[in-house]
Amino acid sequence: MGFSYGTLPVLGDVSLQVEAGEFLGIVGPNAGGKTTLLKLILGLLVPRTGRILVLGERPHVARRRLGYVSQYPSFPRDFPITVEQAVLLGRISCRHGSSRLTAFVPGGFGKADRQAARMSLQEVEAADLAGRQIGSLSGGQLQRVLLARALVSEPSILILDEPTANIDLRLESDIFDLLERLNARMTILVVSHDVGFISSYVTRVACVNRTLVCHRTDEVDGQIIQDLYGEHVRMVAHRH
Amino acid sequence: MAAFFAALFEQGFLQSALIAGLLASIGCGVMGTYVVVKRISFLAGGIAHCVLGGMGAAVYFGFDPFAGALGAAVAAALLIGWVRLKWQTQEDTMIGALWAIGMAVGILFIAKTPGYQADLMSYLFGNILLVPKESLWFMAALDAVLMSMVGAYHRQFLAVAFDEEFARLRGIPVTFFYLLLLVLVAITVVLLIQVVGLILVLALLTLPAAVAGHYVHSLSAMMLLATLLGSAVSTLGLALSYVLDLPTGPTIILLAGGVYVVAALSSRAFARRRARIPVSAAEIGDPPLGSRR
Repeated sequence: MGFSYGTLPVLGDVSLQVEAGEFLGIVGPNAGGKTTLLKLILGLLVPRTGRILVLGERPHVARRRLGYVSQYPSFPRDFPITVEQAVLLGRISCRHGSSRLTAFVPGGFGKADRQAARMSLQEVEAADLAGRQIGSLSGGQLQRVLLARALVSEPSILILDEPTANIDLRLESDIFDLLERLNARMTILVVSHDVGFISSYVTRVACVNRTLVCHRTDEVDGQIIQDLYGEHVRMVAHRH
Repeated sequence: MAAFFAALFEQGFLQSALIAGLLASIGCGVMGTYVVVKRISFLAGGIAHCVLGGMGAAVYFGFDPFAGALGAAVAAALLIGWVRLKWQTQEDTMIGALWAIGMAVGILFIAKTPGYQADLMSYLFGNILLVPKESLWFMAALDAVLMSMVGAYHRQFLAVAFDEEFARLRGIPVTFFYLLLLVLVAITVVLLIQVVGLILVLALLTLPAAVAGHYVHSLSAMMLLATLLGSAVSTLGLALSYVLDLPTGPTIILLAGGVYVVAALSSRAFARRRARIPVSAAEIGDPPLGSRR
């Protein structure tokens, strides 16, 4: 599969197969195509060459069964909405089977939706934030709420783009501990800039820089990282 | 003011004007909220000004000008929505062009209409005192359309207004609901033109909702408060203009504008005062939740 923005090639000849239940880390330098790869999987972009199947279907069909947390919130922070409402929006198109007309069903949210929103806020330990304005949250709180919004539709695959870019290190390991628990019931794809940190959590690392190379986490060493970034990189081995 | 209420009981045209103002307030509160939170007032302005083209054509060909207005508003909403979705880089230039072209077409049609010259001023600045009884039913029907669509699809509209990318990932046809939202805005524009005319329509569409946004923090509360505010300024504006013998449309807009300025200044002063208190506390420990952006 390949993709380019206009004439600028971003990904060329990329091939990736993810098994159910995997915890895949996606790493690589800035502008290497990590976010583009996620957007292709989500069906927000269409590949120039080759094709993508997600859960056996085309991406724009399968995406209702995916949960996604983007790197930057794609909404204005001063929007008048509570945390509970924002999470509830993740419940749209969850019921009524997989018909394409689901999104046209009129009406409000039901009891089951509210219950699901409460459960997923509890799961990310943010139940006490339900009544808060989305704009009043700190970076770490917002990240948890966005994770709850992605989880509330009970996705088969959870896709996260730099989930810990804007929060401090202590919260970073909290979030990854949570992802590790979630991995018991869903496949997880996570983009990170921090290959050393995620290698203690993920089962496999995909290195993306125009092309894509996969490694099992136990194989990742200094040479691989150096090849990926194309220059000398200092690395600290984590032996916990 | 007592003279106004005395006249209100006797004069049928004042009663019609009052009802027209209240009917328009429903549209301005409900759809104005979406215009404000989605930040599409420039699009709404473009739609409003294109309406003159439809009114002019309707007058020229001998139809009811408000039927022409409704047709032109819906067509302009779809055209402007399509421009916004397909030509993002030149969006403001193209909407500005449509804005002016719509008006120019309307003025040419009105100038070339033989015989009776339609009153251009009342289209531009509204004339709530001349709203006929049939128009009230037309306005009520438009309100019914707005309320039923928003009632049925408030989840989808909220999702599209809040976060288009996420809405698309949830399988919502974002383009469809975005265009539907613009069509409902167009219907609201036609509703408000009866009261304040198409030049001033943008103010009545955005100001009550913007004021409400300073005080409440959910879409439904914003809609309710904006509707109440719209009713208050249109009723008060009608009374003032009657007592002081002023044109009604501009009086209503000046009242709405005054309320907006006062609300904006006072909420800013309030936020500053609140920001000043916890400074010493913030230096010691974590900043209080809610002060971080």
